Amino acid sequence: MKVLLALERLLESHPIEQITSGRLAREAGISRSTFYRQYASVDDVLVQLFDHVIAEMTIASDGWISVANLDLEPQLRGLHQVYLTHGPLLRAVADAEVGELKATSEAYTSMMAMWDEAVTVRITESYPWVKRPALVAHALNAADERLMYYDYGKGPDSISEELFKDTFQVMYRMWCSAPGNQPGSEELVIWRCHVDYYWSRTPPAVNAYPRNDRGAAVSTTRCFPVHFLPSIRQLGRRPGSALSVGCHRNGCSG
Amino acid sequence: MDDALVQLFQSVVTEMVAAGDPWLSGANLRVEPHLRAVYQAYLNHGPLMRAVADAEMGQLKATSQHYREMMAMWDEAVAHRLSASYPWVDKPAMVSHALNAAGERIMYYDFGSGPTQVTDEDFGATVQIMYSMWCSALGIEQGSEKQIVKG
Repeated sequence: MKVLLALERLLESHPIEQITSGRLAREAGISRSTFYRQYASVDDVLVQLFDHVIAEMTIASDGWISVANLDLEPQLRGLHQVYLTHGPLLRAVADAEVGELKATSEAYTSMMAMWDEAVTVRITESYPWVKRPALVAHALNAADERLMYYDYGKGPDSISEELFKDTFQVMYRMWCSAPGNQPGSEELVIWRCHVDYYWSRTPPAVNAYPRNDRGAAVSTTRCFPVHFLPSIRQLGRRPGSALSVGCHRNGCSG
Repeated sequence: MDDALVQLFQSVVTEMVAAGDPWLSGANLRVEPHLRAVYQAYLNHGPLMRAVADAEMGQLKATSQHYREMMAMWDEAVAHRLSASYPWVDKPAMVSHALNAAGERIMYYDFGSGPTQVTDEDFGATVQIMYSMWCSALGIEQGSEKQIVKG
């Protein structure tokens, strides 16, 4: 553990390519031979340290990933916080993808693939109306990964609390809007428009607005959001049945 | 090598700027063709762009510097367009940065192996996902690209 902590400390002030096993051993207060009894290389230490951080990230987001708690906001915030706390380490791990640290690079690629898969499963199961869930998961993770790399890679001291909050909020809104959720309520938003629409097993995408008689998209100026699922329950309609939400071609009445 | 890569990169940046110019300059505010054109330029030069992005972590200091400057310039250009043409977008600089980071990474992963490795369908699907992200972030309706007015 001393060596792992020493590596994280060194990464706060040195790029990974400048950290040798000798330097790491000195920082940890052990001899090189002791170092090599425990680890094969700096690459090996980095992988083990990364494993600890993956465990932290998994714990932070487990509720959402495992569907125990679909409240995304605190969990996404937790994930961002873990990245920020270990920013220099995670930046070094991401950089390893193109460097000489093959084991770390492999661990990073596997982690990203695992993360894509986990988010895909959650989107598929919890937001079944999302088209191409794997691609959406991939895009969201890629966005998060790069943003965190740029903004948190220098560690917690280099970013103000306000900037962290703003960065996180932008990503949170992206995560909400991808499956058509309303930030805050985490429920699907459907815009009630000027015409009736039909509830089928696949609800319309948020932006799939009804069309008027001439096929043009109906103006959204008189539309307002409703939380779809409670509305369905409230109206007592079943999937597949025609659903009038009180909006008509001449305007909304609901 | 570093110098050669910088020069090649400059020509691709020119191509990307030309592709993105109608939207960036405000001459044509359609987001979809803008994204498609920029992504197509990236795809055409995928392996080169991947090498340039990788330079950030390697020894090619001049390339790395140019890459960072290009990303900063792109962030600034998009933030300016958001402020000028989508004034309802909160924190345009941050939104620009997030959208560009997303685009950058997804292009790196999906288009980095070059045009022969990506089918038209996969290219279209990636553009569509990013387009929906842009529309959500900009508060505009996909297709018509009109502002979504709540209330």
